[in-house]
Amino acid sequence: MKALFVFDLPSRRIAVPLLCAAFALSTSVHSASSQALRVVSLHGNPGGSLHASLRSEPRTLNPVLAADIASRTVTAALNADLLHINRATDQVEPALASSFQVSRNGESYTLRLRQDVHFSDGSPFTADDVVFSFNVYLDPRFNAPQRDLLLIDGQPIRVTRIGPYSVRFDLPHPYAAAARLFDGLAILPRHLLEPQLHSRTLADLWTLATPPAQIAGLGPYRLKSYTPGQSLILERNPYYWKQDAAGHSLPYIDQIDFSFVSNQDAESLRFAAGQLDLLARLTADSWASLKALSTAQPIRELDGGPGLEFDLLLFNLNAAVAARPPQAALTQQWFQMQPFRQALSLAVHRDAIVHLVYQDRAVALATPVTPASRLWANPALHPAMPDIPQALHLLSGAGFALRGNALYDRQGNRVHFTILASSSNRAQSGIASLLAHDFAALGIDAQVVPLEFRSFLQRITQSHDFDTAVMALSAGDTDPNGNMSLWLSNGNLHLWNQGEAQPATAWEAEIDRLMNQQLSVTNLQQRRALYDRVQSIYADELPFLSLVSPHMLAAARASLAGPTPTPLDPGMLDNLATFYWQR
Amino acid sequence: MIRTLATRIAHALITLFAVSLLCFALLQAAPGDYFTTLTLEPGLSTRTLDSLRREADPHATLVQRYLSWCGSMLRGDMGHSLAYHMPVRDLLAPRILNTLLLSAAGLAGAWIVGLLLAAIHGRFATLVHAFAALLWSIPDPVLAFLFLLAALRFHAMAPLPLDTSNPFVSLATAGRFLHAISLPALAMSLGYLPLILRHAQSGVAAARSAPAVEGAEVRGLPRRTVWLRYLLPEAANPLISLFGLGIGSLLSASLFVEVLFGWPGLGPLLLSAIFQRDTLVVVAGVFASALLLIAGNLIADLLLWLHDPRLREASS
Amino acid sequence: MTMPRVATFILVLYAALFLFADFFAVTPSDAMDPALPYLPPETLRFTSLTGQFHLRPSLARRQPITGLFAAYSSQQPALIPLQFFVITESPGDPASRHLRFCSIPGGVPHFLGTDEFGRDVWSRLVYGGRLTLLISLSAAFAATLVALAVGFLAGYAGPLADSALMRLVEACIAVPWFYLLLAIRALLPLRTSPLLAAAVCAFVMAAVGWARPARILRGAAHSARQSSYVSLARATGASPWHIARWHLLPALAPLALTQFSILVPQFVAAEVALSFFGLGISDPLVSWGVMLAAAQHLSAIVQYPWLMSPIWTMIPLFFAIHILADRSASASPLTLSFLPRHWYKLPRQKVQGESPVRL
Repeated sequence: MKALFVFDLPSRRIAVPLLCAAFALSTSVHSASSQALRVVSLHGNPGGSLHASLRSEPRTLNPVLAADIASRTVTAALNADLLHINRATDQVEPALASSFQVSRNGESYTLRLRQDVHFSDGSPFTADDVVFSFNVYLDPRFNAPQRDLLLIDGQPIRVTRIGPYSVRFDLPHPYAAAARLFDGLAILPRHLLEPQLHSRTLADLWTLATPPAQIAGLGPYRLKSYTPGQSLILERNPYYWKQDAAGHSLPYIDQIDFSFVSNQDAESLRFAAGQLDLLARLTADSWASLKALSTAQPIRELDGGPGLEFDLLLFNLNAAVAARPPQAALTQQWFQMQPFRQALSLAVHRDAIVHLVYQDRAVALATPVTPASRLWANPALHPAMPDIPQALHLLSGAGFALRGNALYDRQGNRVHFTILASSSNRAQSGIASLLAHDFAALGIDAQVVPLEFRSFLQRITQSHDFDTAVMALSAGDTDPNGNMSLWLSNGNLHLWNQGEAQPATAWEAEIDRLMNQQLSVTNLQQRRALYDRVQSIYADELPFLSLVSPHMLAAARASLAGPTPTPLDPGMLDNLATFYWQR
Repeated sequence: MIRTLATRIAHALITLFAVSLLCFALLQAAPGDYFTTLTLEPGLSTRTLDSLRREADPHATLVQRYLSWCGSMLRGDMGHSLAYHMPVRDLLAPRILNTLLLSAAGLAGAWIVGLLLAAIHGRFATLVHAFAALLWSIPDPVLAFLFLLAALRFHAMAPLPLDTSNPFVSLATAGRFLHAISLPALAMSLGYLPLILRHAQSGVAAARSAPAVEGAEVRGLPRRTVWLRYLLPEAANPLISLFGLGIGSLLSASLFVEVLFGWPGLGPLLLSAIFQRDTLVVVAGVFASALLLIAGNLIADLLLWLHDPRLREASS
Repeated sequence: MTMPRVATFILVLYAALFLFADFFAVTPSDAMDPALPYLPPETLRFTSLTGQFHLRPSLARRQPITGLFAAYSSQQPALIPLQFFVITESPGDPASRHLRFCSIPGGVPHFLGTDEFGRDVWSRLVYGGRLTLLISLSAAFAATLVALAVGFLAGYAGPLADSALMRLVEACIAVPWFYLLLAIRALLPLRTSPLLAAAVCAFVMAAVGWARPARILRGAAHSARQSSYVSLARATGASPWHIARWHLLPALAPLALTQFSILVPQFVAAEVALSFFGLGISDPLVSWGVMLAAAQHLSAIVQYPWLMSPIWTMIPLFFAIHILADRSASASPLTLSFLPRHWYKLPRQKVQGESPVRL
């Protein structure tokens, strides 16, 4: 018997969504005229089916619990939200709520709901469903992952039914927050779930084993069938509430077949053979190799430009770890020095990462704010260009000395540290190799340590036993509020120094203050000025190095109209209802 | 015989106990758990995470956890999957069936081809030998990978989605099913073939010089009779052992091929469960393979006992 | 030429390549050239641009097209005459100073092209092969030795020890090793010296790989014990040690040798998995496992097929090892004549034919 020993994992990016709570205070009234939402300027052809793939099986069909990409993709097609961010314009638009009104003090939001809207099982949608849904999100008994998002200063948002088609949301205090919060929060059918919630936990509801008849949503599709390990088939929701310009009910495509193809290469080849119509979230090398494959039908390669995801080099600035050997204390002492971090940044060839790792399908970054956040990047900051003499100058100012090819610190210790990378992610391992190569120019001996993903994360978030790590993060929203948990010193993505009770440094305290201030400022220009300031402080202090932001790459059959990669969840399938086949 | 059987079953239970305990201990020793990735979930506070952890696993120590698992196993309950929020049994059952289908097809193919090739002797035997050596020399994953590429490039892969749930309702579905299973089964066969070939070849070579076979040849019996009546029974013993081994690997042998070809079996599920630390799914998968491993050995011994009178004498 | 002879030849060739790796490689394995990612293999020419014949071959170097990734101009390659037996040194790295069999002025010839970071595939193949063989041969040797010992014990000692050992083997086969590997990685310091990493890699392979061969060897030991010559030896009062040394070992050695040859390619594949757990070989060292992992991608096959060269390189080598092991095991005269005569005097077939072999 030959032992089987090798695991071929799709080189999946580790994208971690950041906080997606973002509001722009406005007292205006947004409204749409008709009850059914009419998507103007859209004339498609109804009919046909779409074959798409998922890299893994969805773990749940419950939109409240969906945490992995596959589950989010599927639940996004099955459900709808009250207000929705238009991915093309980045503006909030009415969805299930036909209009909303903000009180003058900014503490309460009144949403008018569309009438005559039905769930996919035919039962009507009313304010009760909205109240029920938010109770599920907010009740601590259910441990819903969204709960902490809906807390403002530790207090939950209050939801009140003020009529069959009208709901009021009360915030504990004026919160510079508008409708962006509602994007992606699915409205659940009260009539199906409430009776069951008395006897079962939320996690047991709407699993893959649940019969399709017991699942209903307000999205363009509903579940038709699920075959374990193979496929999940969605069919057109006949009750969907959007229409096109001609008054034809959306969605156009009758059926969506999601097949589970875990191997990215197999996925590409099946796409080339015409068995799949759509490829999302491609790595740069798979995307480039599509050209070299002979395809059965013409295809369209889609490059959505940089998304919200970015690669970074994280420094371990956590308070000293007791269990670590003396060497660790030494490396941490170096990372605590601002000039040392700045010198490392000056040694990095970001353009080489863009060129070699992403085959030019990425952009170099100065801060974690990627170009996808159109309004918010500080225009005065530019990605650092490699400058070894300047870096060495900074280092010698901090007491380091280059002797021969090796850098020594003030006490005469050789400067060396490790760079952790997730071994299943080729891009990140590649970046780590390039960084080690770059740091060698400063006389630093950096060793790449590839680790299995969960071991890797465990070191970063739990044991804090590492020197530096290459990883990817992704903001949850284009708005600065989508980065709150990264910036705030008590945020759970404040990875360089986790769980600070008090800000450890003056500049972290300043960032906390600026970020909290921008939450309640009404004026866009003022918010921008505050956020620019945060970015300047970051660029000066560099608690981690923002490296590059890869493009969103995808491919589709040429005759399929509609797919466009977008930075917000669920990516390319956000406007699935408007996809259609060109004749 | 019954006594032997009883001791074997007792041994099997000991092995299963050891394997499951080891499995729990190793899972405990590995860094990170199912909830590790959730620590980066922005909306999830440490408090919520802690209550999720407690909800999933109320036990404080390894021993408690193991004992509670043993208890529920005795009731026929394999526990809940953390990732899928489903009973492990419901998760595993359809996939085990698919895996068994694929492995059985793959192993059967390897056996048939292996035995036929082993019967060749003379000039072509060297060729067969070289072929076997070549298959040994290519690492399994490389072999399967090359095979997948060839298959996909020549558009020989069955279109998605596969339907293995009830393949033989009509001629069309049966055809689709055979199309879908043929390539992964072939890839599996190629990996397994050299092993069978080696044992079959040496078995046949040894049996050729056995007195009974030589005697039959001297008596001028027809070739077919010599083969079927004398040579094969003579060569059968090591092959029966090998057969038992094959049964033991029915669940594990196809793991790699399944992942590569996207076969809806146990492989992809177990692999993702392993990386996600979906504890009970992993334990159940390991337990099922161990059970099969032991059962395979037992079946082989039983067959040997039935086939070989010497063993029956020895045990009586 | 017979097969064993071809195999011996191949083995000697590879041995020379790996023994003198520093001479045959043209550059250190981790030397990057960011300007030349995925450069296709460069060809040698014996004619100048005007068509004149030169005895000294020239390297046809194609120039990268600016603005495109990994695109190289197909017209008018620069012809750079090769230099032989040159001492080269990468800038700033005195440890890389070696006599190389060939070089070009101010650069590196890429006979097998380059990888994603512009590292020379040929040099990585040579250095990687050396390390891979070192690891997988020693791991296979250790695993076979353990398997042999367990086989002996199980085959020779009483039924109690036998069944205990077999339970152990079964448990070893069934247990999920993944987690043990992760735990081992967690116990090791983050920064491991390359030598330690390789040693751990070999150790883990041996620790995981012994169980299956042990099962097979134990079966053979069982039948050997029941054979008439062992009974005879026992009847004449031979010591267990004597029986093990002179009767069991000769019976088991051929089988062990074959098991060894089967383990070697498996361990190369295993190394890919180990690097996934962070226990394998990582930068700046290189191994065939590392190269294999990079080659098992669609992009490597459709766009950069030269990355698959480790596959084509390893197959003949393992083939040769297998043929030789098999040959000496099946007792035909000899290729591995350094083995004591009685090791192959006793045909394996006799042993297996005597009574059921339990695997």
